[in-house]
Amino acid sequence: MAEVVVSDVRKNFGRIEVLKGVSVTVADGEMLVILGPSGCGKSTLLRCIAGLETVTAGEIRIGGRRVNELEPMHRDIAMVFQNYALYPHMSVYDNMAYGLRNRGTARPEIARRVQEAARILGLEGLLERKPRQLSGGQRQRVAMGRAIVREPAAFLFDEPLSNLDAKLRVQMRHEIRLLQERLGTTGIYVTHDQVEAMTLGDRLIVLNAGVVEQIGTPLDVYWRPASAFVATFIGSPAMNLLRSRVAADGAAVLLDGGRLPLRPARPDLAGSDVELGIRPEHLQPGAAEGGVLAGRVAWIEALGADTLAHLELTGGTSLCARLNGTLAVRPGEMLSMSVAEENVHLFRPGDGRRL
Amino acid sequence: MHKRVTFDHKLLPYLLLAPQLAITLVFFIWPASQALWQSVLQEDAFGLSSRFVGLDNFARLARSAEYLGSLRVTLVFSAAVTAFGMGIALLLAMMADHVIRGATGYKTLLIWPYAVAPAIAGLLWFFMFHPTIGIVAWLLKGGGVLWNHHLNGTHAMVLIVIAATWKQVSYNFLFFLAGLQAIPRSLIEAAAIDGAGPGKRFRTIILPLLSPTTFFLLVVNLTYAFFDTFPIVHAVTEGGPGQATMILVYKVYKDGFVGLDLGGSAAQSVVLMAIVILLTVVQFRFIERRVQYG
Repeated sequence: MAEVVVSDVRKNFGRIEVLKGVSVTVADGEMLVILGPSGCGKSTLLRCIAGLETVTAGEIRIGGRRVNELEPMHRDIAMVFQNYALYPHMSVYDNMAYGLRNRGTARPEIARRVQEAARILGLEGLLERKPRQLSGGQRQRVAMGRAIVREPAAFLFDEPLSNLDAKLRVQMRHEIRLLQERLGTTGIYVTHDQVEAMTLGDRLIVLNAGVVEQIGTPLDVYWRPASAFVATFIGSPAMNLLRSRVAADGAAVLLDGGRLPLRPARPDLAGSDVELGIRPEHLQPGAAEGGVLAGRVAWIEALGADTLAHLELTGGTSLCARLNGTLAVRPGEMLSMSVAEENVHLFRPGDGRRL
Repeated sequence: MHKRVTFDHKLLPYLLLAPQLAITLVFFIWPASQALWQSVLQEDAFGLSSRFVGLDNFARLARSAEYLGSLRVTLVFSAAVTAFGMGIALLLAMMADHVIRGATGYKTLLIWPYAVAPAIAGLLWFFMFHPTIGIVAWLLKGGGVLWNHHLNGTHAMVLIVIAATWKQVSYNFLFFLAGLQAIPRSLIEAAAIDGAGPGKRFRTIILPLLSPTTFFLLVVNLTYAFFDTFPIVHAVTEGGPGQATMILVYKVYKDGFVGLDLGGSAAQSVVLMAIVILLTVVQFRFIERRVQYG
């Protein structure tokens, strides 16, 4: 149980900068999810914390202790790998006991801890099996078991669920969350799956090209994305981003298809270009009071519960709206949409920061 | 899934097999049965008469101090070649596994010795260790060792072990490297996090996972040392000095073709044949029960 502090960590592979100064503090017992597209450096960050990669600059502290120079085994962490990384020649029992034996834990204590972990994870009947005799979900549990018997200061998860099928993934996601909460161990979880990130994390850190885009609770990140990148990365379908201009009085955003009032008004942005962000699920059909966007329905995707309507605004920009599935919409139809002003996001063109 | 091919013509499959069968027949079955037959005969040195002696030739072998000496020499030689060949290859493979830049270059260079004919390899080392003109012998002299494998049996043995090992390291290296690269990196990393230092990781993770490769190479290397090292011995020491490097395969040749004791030589061949069969059975058994990863 410990706090993990990452301060201005940089990592270069040759001339390539993978992490460009990442800082984040993971509180004791917290589950932090590192989220980002492939190649954003999220696994590298985790491997730096684990000690499998050395950092080029910056500092990592686990439980108040600087660990930059420590070998992985001395960092008091346990890691669950994407491909489970179970030792194929050892039984389930030996897989879980390996780390304890290496640390010279007494034999009865090893047996007690392994039995306890097996009980928690429902692996009691499988202790004598070899990994190849287990299903994917069972292997995943053994990998978890190997981590928890050690009773480490922090769990590190490197996309542990990506090799499982969809149904099992939902179940294991839930189990991991329950287990981590019950043990109260600090957790750092890497994923590119936003649903996993939203459901597992106490907080998220969104990485893009080695730079921290935003750190916050899942709902924070959803409702107040710090950048256009975060806004489009979280949420499905992705947030609409429209090139637009703020009216001269700062009270509204002007668009080809209409005019959206800004409340409160933003006189500071009067007359400047902005990226306007609206989530598809926040567009409502019908002209409510305030601003409307009108467009022709180009095509629709009926998903049952929802219908995704792709609109073409008068200026030619396209917009996706998530409508109730019971609504009858046909391609070619003209549709006006309204949006509540609190769901209007403004981003600066260029660097995409929130305005 | 078996792919079944059917031939309309009854004769065609036999015709297709004929060339291979002919080769096997002429170069294996025929000489092997000749050897079997010869091994129970005693022939005079001029090949004019022969008589049936039953298992006398074998009995003589079992009593012959020379033959038992040769057996001991062969065991020492095979054990040394196998141990050094595999040990050095594993060491090189472990190092090559870590090399990222220029890996292909190193690998190619390490594989080259395998392409050298055994006799040439033998000659190469013969010249390097030559007591009067060899560079290694000269260096050793500087170090206070008077190298002469023409006179010193231990020197001769060391020399053929070096030559035979040098040639076999490439082959072992290739297999070990492939074996090492088949071990997922995350396993090693998991072990590192689990508190195993490099030595412990090697003993508890890498070595057990390499065991199928190691076992396969053990059989192949023993076979190599027993049978394929004839050209090296022939080129370097001719079994001498005395009987110091008279390995079984070379003794078959020496006794049969030089000493013209055809019956005795044939009996030795039969013994070697039995050893080959035994090693092959072991190898086939093993390949059937190949250890599977993960």
